[in-house]
Amino acid sequence: MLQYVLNRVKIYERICFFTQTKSPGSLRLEGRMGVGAEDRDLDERWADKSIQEALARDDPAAVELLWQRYANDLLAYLVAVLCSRHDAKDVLQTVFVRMAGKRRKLAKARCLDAYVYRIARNEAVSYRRRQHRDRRHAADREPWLAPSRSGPTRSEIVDLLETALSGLPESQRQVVVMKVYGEKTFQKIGQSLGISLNTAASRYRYGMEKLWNLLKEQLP
Amino acid sequence: MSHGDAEYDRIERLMKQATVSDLSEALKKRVVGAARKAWLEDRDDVPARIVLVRLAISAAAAILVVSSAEFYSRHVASHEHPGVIRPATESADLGVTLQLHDLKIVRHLVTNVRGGSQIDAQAVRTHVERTRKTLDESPKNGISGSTEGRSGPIPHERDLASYS
Repeated sequence: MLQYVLNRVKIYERICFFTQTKSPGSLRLEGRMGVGAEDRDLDERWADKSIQEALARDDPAAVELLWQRYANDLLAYLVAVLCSRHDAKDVLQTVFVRMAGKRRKLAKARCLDAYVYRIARNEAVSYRRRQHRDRRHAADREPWLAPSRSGPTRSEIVDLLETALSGLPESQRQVVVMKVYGEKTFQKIGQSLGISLNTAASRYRYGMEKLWNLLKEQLP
Repeated sequence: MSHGDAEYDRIERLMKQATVSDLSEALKKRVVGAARKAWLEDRDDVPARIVLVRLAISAAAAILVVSSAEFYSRHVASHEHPGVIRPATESADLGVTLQLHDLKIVRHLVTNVRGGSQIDAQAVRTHVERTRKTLDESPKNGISGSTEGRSGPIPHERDLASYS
C-alpha cells in the first residue's frame, strides 16, 4: 500500500516537472511513454503479485490469471520468434503447460516476467529445433501477420509488413514486435528478455531503420 | 543513417494496421485446459514424490550415522588399545584372536563349534582338572586362596559330568 502511494507521488512529481519544463506536445508524448507506462507497470506488478500468490496457494485459478496477464504478449512474442501463427499457438500451449509444471518456482521467482519469457524462449527454440529435425519447415508457410480489426483491411500493406518484419534479424524483430504491438517500455522489454535497456533500445532503433528503408515508399 | 521519432511513429502507425496476436476463445480453452490438466496431474504426483524423497533422505541419513559411528568407534579403540586387533578385524578370523589370548579350551570350543560337532566333554574335563590342580598348588607357593573379587571356584569334576 505504502509502495503504491509512493509511486503515485512519484508520478505526480513527474507530471509537475513536465508541466513546468516541457511544451504541451512533449508532455503528451511523455504522458504516453512515461506516466502511462508507469500506470501499466503498477498494474502489471499488481497482477504478478496476485498470480504468484495464487501459484503459492497451489490454486489452479492461477492458470486463468496467467492467461489474462501473458497470453497476448506471449503469442505476439512467439509469432515474432517463429514467424508462424500456427506454430506460435502450439508453443503457447506448451509454455502454459510448462508454467503449470513449474508453478512452485514461478511462485518464488523474483521477476515473473523474465521467468515466463525465458520459458517461452526455451520452448520456441526447442520447437524450432524439432521442426528442423523433422524437415517439415517452410513447406506450408502461412501468413503470420493479420490485418488489424480496428483498421481497414489492406492486405497489400500487411503482406509488405510481414515481408519486412521477416527480413529483420530475430533479436530486432522481437524487440520491435514487443514495442509496437505489446506497447512495452524498453525497460520492460529488457527485463523480459534478459538484456539491458540500452540493448533493447538499440535493437529497436536498428530494426526501425531497416523497416524505414523497406517501407518508406509505402508510407502516406 | 539516423531517423527521428517522427519516422518511427509513421512506421508504428503503419504497423498498427496489422496485428500479430489474435487470441480466440477456442485457443484459450485449449491452452488453459491443457495447463489445468498438467497442473492436476502434477498435484497427484506430489504426495508419492514427497514420500519417496523422504524415504531416500532417511536412508541416506541412517547410512551416514551408522558409518560415522563405526568410524568413530574404530578411531577411539585404536587410540585406547594400539596393540590389539579390533573386533572389525577379529570378526574376519575369530580363531586368530583367540590364539592371541592363549585360551586353549576356548580355542577347542571354537573349533568344535566351527566343525558343527558336539563339545568334547573329556577335553573340557581334563582342562578343568589341570587348572584346579594348578590352583590347589598356588597356596603352597604363597598365593592367597581368597576368591574375593574374582570369579567363583572351579567346579568339581563330577559336576562337569552334566555338561556332556
